[in-house]
Amino acid sequence: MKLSAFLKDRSLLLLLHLTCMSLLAGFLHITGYAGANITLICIVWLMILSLFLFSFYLQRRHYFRKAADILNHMDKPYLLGEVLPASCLLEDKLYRDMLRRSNKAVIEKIHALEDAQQDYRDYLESWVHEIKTPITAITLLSENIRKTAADDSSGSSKRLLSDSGDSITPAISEVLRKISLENGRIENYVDLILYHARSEQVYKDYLIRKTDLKEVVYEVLEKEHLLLIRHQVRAEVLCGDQVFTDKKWISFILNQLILNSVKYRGDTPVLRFETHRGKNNITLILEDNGTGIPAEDLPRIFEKGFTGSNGRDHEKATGMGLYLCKKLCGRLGISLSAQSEYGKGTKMLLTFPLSSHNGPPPG
Amino acid sequence: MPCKILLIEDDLLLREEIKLLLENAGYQAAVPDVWQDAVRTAVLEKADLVLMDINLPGCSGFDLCMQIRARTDTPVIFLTGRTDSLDELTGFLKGADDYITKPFQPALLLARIGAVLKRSAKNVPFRKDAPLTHKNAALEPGACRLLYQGHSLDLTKTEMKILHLLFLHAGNFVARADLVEYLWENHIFLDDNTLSVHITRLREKLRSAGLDDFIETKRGMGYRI
Repeated sequence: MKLSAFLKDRSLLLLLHLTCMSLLAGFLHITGYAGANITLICIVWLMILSLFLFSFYLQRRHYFRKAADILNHMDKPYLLGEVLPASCLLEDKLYRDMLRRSNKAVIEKIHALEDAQQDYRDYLESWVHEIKTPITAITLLSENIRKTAADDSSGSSKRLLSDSGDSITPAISEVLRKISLENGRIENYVDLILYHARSEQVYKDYLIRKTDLKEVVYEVLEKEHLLLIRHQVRAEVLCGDQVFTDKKWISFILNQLILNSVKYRGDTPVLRFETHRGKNNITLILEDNGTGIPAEDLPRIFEKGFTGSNGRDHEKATGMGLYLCKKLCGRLGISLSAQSEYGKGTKMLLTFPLSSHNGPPPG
Repeated sequence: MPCKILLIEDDLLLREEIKLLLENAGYQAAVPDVWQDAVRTAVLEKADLVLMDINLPGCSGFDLCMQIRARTDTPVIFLTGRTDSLDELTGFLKGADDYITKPFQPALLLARIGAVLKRSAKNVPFRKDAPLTHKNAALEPGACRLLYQGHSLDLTKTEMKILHLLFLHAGNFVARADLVEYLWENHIFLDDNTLSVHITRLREKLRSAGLDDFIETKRGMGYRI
């Protein structure tokens, strides 16, 4: 609050005083009052007026500075009405009351939205849980037929066998494999929406445990084995370290990275998983020999909705996968970064910080 | 005497398929329709392992698990679509031995069941380590070698797994795709071309022991011994 602005605001009051002052001076002059005395009266008047205005200005400035300060330090500024400094002025009281009522309406609206969002997330979670049962059933159905057909003629394989045949034909086997593959894609899409909902969640849904990285990599490779085999992918796993993290989240993140590697694969795709133990961290590196990422796209690949030139050539890119991975990594305290040479391959680095819980550092 | 597994799952189709999967893996599976009696069944029929869902109509898997835990130390594995960490923690706190989320890979489910049974010191019905014989050749999976007429061939892990699957299906053709899948399930992540390389090397190795044309190839069908 500047003094000039304050005075400008009080210009009517100043004008009133000046008018009164000149009227009084004129009246006194007509009645034959001495000129020096009139000047003295006017000077005293002006002094009293400026003293009053200045102290009023200081009081107002103090009040608004305090209010602004409170506002700046509040983490929920819309609650300002509740914490404004006390004031004895009627106007301040009226404004404060209005502010409170308006804020209350906003808060109610926010709560209603939060409730609706929470309901929606809860429904989404339970929906995801429900849909996983049929997905599992479909996988088991096709795998049971495929796997048992060669072993014996009991059980499910009988359902597809003719009277003469003793095993299912390669064509049927291929169809079943495709069903499993598509089913796996459904599963991945369902996981995407689930983790997307979770990444927004305020509460933290994770369980930090000692996790063997090799085991996680094995599980993800096993989960995606039909897809990887279909695309003639070879994988090498050189992981020997354990970290403290949430296994499910890491599995999801690795799964997304592997799907990306498969999507942007080269001629003879190879996936390499390696762990490196640093002084204060353990890094899991996923290296592929795929198309790589152009240098100009590299800094932006973790942005929401970014598809880059690779993604645009590839109609299926949504720009969500890596964004979500980065976000989840952030929540877990893991840093995710990418190195790539266009045309040669990509390296994804997941760096897990080492705490004292992980045992003594090497050496 | 195969291990007996009590399966508590409300989805009919899934129940049937899991039962099949378990039976094909050499287990005996019991599938009750009424879960409220599951505790009694588990105790009376002396199941070696209980596999159960959490969301059951009319009752909660957590409660069932607690009741089972109170009366017997039969291992319990939860099989559920609920992936919430809190649910998993609750599951373990209620005394579960493992917690598997749907959808799962069939091979993974069997591996986890095997691990839990092994931990609870029940005899696992896997014939994995028993030597397999075919045409006078004996495969010893535990020792990773093949015995034939006094020759002893040391095999690499990959060669062992290839032969293992062929021995398990002795007399029948095994498709290349099935062979690659089997290797992936055993953590050998190779592609079709690499498989050919391994088969060639394996054949040479077999020939050196006098096993000519032990592995038969048929176009479009796969391999057979």
